[in-house]
Amino acid sequence: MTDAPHDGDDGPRRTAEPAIDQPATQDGEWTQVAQRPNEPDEADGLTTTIVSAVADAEGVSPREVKRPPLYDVVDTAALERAFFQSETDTGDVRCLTEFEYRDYRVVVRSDGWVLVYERVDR
Amino acid sequence: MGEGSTSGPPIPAFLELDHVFEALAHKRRRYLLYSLSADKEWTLWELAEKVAAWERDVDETALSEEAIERVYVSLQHSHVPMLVENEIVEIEEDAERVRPGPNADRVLSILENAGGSDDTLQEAHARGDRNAELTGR
Repeated sequence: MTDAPHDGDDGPRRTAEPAIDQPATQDGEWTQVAQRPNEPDEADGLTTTIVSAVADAEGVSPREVKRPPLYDVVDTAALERAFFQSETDTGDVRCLTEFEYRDYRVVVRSDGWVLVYERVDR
Repeated sequence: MGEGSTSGPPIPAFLELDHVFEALAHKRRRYLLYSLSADKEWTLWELAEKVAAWERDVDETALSEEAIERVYVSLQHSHVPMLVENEIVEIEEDAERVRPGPNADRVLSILENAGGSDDTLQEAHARGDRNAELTGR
């Protein structure tokens, strides 16, 4: 697990390290526990990337992450179209979607990074 | 008719065309539909193997477990739930078996008229394994 550098003026290149320490929703303290870059050329890449990132956080293989189906939580097909398949050049635009899945906070960024956060118990 | 319904919002008795075309608008879902028949229930993992073998144009034995798993995850978390929601397939949760749902025939008959050479090859591939299964491969 790499330390996330502080947010700077890094461009939205896929190879850039994720630079967000905390998810956008400010409802307590979270710590990043996993990250994966999306595979835009793979069919259903985003679904697989999200499940795999959560599996990384849980320390299991992706096939063991079963409930709930991601389909019930977020429309990954719509996200893929909006973030990665739009014909508009989104080089200067950053989009971000955040949702909860299996007690984790998941962030999907338009630069291709999927980040998984765990709540810090106090 | 009269089978117990799963929990969730009421499902329309007749699948509207919008939902039919949405169900058909993905190669992996079409491949799933071609694979299903009344005679056999596939497990999710078996279906993932078939889809992965087709997409990579290799024999199932040549697939890495990771490659199958990536397809498996997309079926489990994306395609099968969508098809279940539209009653095109049914799934038995614990055993992860997939079988045709009430709307499968309607969707398949629309597919037959749609044509498309890539889909013809895909359909033959999907159904070819079933024939081999029946003859005791």
